[in-house]
Amino acid sequence: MEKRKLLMVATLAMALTSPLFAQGANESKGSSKVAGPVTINYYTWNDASHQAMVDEFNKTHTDVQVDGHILAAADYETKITTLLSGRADIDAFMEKRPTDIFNQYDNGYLEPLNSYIEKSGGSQAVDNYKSTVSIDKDIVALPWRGGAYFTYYNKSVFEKAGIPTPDTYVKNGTWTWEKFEEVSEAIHKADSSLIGSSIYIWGSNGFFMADQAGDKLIDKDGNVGNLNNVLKQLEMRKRLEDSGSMWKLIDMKVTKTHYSKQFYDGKLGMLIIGEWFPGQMATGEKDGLLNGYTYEDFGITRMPCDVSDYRTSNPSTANSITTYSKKKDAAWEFINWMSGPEGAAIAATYGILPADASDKAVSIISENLPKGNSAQYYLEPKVSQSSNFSMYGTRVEAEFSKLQEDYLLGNLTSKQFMDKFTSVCNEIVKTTY
Amino acid sequence: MAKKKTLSEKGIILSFLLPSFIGFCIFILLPMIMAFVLSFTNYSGGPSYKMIGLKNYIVAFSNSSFIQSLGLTFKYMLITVILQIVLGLLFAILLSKEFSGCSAFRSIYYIPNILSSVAVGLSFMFIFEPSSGLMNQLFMSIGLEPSKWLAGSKDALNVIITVSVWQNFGYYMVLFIGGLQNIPRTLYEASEMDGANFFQKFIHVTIPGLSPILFYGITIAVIRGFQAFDYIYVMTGGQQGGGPAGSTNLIAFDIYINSFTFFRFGYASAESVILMIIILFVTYIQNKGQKRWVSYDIV
Repeated sequence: MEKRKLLMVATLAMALTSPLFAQGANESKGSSKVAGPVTINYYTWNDASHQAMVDEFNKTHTDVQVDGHILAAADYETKITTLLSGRADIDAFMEKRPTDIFNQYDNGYLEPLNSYIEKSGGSQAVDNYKSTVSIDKDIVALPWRGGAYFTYYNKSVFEKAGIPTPDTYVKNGTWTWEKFEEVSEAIHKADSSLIGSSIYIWGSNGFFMADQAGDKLIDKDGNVGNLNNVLKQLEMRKRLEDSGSMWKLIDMKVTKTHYSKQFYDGKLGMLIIGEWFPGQMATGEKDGLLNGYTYEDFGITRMPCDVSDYRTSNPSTANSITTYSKKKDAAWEFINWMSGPEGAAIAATYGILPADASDKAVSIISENLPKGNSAQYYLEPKVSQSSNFSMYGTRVEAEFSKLQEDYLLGNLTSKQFMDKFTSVCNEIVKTTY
Repeated sequence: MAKKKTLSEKGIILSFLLPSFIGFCIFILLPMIMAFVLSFTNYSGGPSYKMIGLKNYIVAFSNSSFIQSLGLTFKYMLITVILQIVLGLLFAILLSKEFSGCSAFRSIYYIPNILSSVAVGLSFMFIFEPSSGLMNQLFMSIGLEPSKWLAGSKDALNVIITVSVWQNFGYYMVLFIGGLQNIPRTLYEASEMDGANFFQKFIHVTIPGLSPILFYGITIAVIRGFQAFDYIYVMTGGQQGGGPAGSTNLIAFDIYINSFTFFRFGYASAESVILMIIILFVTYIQNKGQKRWVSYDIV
C-alpha cells in the first residue's frame, strides 16, 4: 500500500516536471528535418544590415532559408557562449569579439572551413584577413565585413579653427600620431568649445600604434612582447585629455556617451573609429541628428600612422559554423553568399566596408560616401593588423583598460604603468590553463 | 499527544512538498554542487576541460585582483550594513508612533525598495553625472568644488554605497517598525516608573525587544552586501569592466567578468565557492554571537 502511494507521488512529480524536458526533445527532433528547403538557424546581433542580409538571402534562395535569431548587441558575446555551451540549435553565427574564437575552437564548437573554401575555389575575403580568422592551419570563420580604422573628420570644425583638414597631411605623407596630436590641440586652442579628437573607450583602441607597428603583445607561445607602443599611445592620450583636446575616456564611459553622438553634436574635429561609421553617419543624417553641419562636411581619411608603409588596425567581422550543425552545407551556402559579391552589395548599401568589395559594392559605397577624396582612402587596398589577437587577447584588453584608467586618473606614472602592465601580461599567461 | 499521521496523509503532504523540493534540487542544490565540482576544473564553456585540483583556489588567493575584490567587498558590506541598519532603526523609531500622515511617510521611505535596481541605478547615474549632473550643480550652487563621482576611482564605490543604502534602508525600517510595535507598552511604563530616560529605555527595552528582528535584519543585510552586483553592472558598465581602474570590482562582479567575459567558468566557480564559504562563516559567527545579545523571551 505504502509503495503504491509513493509510486503515485513519483508519477505526479514526473507529470509536473516532464514539460521541462519535453521542449528540448522537440527541438532536437526538429533540427533533423530536411524535407523541402533547408532552414538553418543563424545567430547575430541587432544591426539593420544583418537583418537585411538574412531577408535578401531568403528572398533570392529557394534551397536554403535562414531563420535569423537577433540578439541584443550589448550582451551578445555572453549569450552566444551560453548558447554554444548548451548546444543550442545553432548552425551558423556571427563572431563579435574576434578573440573569442580561441575559446570556441578549444571547446570544439567551430567547424574548420578549409575544405569548404577549397571546394568554392578560394575566398578573397579570407585571403584579406587570414591571420585573424585562423588558428594554426584551420580557418574557423569567414569574414564578411572588412576591418579597418579611419580618421573621420568634420570639415566645419576645421573651418572654424582655421586649420587644414587631415587629408592634407595624408597627401604629403605627414599624417603621423604626432601630427594628430598637434592638430587636435590646434582645434581646441582655436576655440575652447571645440574638441580636437576622440578615441572611444574600448581597450583595443589603446593598441593602435602597436597594431600598426606589427607588435604582438603576447604571442601564441605566451611570450610577452614589446609594450612600448602601448605606453606611447597612452601618454599621448593623457596629454590630449589634460589639455582638453580629446574627450576624456572615463567621462565617456561613465556617461555612456556614444562616439556617434559626439560626432553628431558638431563640436568634435576628428574621430578615430572603424569602417562601420559611414553607415552611422548616414543614419544620423537621415534622422536629422547632425548638429550645425551637413553630410557634405563629413570626411574620411587614413588613420594616423608612424610606420612608413601605411597600416591600419582592426580585424574583420566573420561568421562561423558550429561543428554539431546537421546542416553545415546549407550554413556554408549562406555565409559564403554573405562574404561574396551579393552580400558585399548589401553591406555597401548600409555604408559598410565588405571584406571583399566587389565592383558593384565599390560603386554603391562610393555613391554613399562623402564627396572629395573620402572614397579613395576608404576603398584603397590596405593592411589591417591586430597586436592583441591571441588566446590571451580578451583578458589583456580588460586588464589594460583598468590600468589605462588608473593612468589617466593620474594614479600611475609611466614607469608604474609599464611595470604593472608587463606583470599583468605575465600573470595572464601563467593563469591561462 | 499528537495523532499519528496515516499513510494517505503522508502521501498528500509529500505530494504538496515534492514540486518545491524538485525545484529546490534543480535550481539550487544541483547548481551548488555543479559550481563546487566545476571549481576543480578549467571549464571554459565546452566539453574540453579537465580536473586541475586546487589550482583555481591557489590562483585566486595569489591574484592581487581577487584580493582587492575581497577587500572592496568587505568595505562595501560593512558600510552598507551599518548605514542601512542605523538609518532603518532611526526612521523606524521616528515613524513607529502613530501621528497624522505616518503611513504616508512610511510608504515614501519604503517605495525605493520596490523599485527596480536598474531604474534606480540609471536615475542616480544622471544625478551623479560628473560634468553637469544634479549633484554637481548643487555643489557648485553652494560654492563647493564639483566631484568626479562615478568617474573617480576614489568616489565611485561611495556613490554605489549611497544608492544601495537609499534604496534598501526602507526595507529594514518596515521590519523594525513591526518589531517595535510588538514590544509591550508595559515594559516602557515600568522603566519610566523606575526613572529611566529615553536613552536608557532604548538600550534596556527597545534593543532587547527588537533584537530578534535586528538579528534577522543584520544577517540579511550582510548576505546582500556580499552579493552586491546590480548597481555595479548598471552604473559602472558591466561589459566595460566596472568603475574606473577596477574601483568597483566587488567579488560578485569579478565572478561575472571571469565567467562571461573571460569564459573562465572553473576559476569563477572557485571564486563563488570562496564567497559562499565566507558568507556561511560570517553567518555562523553571527548565529553563534546572537546568544549574547538576542532575547527571544522579552515579550
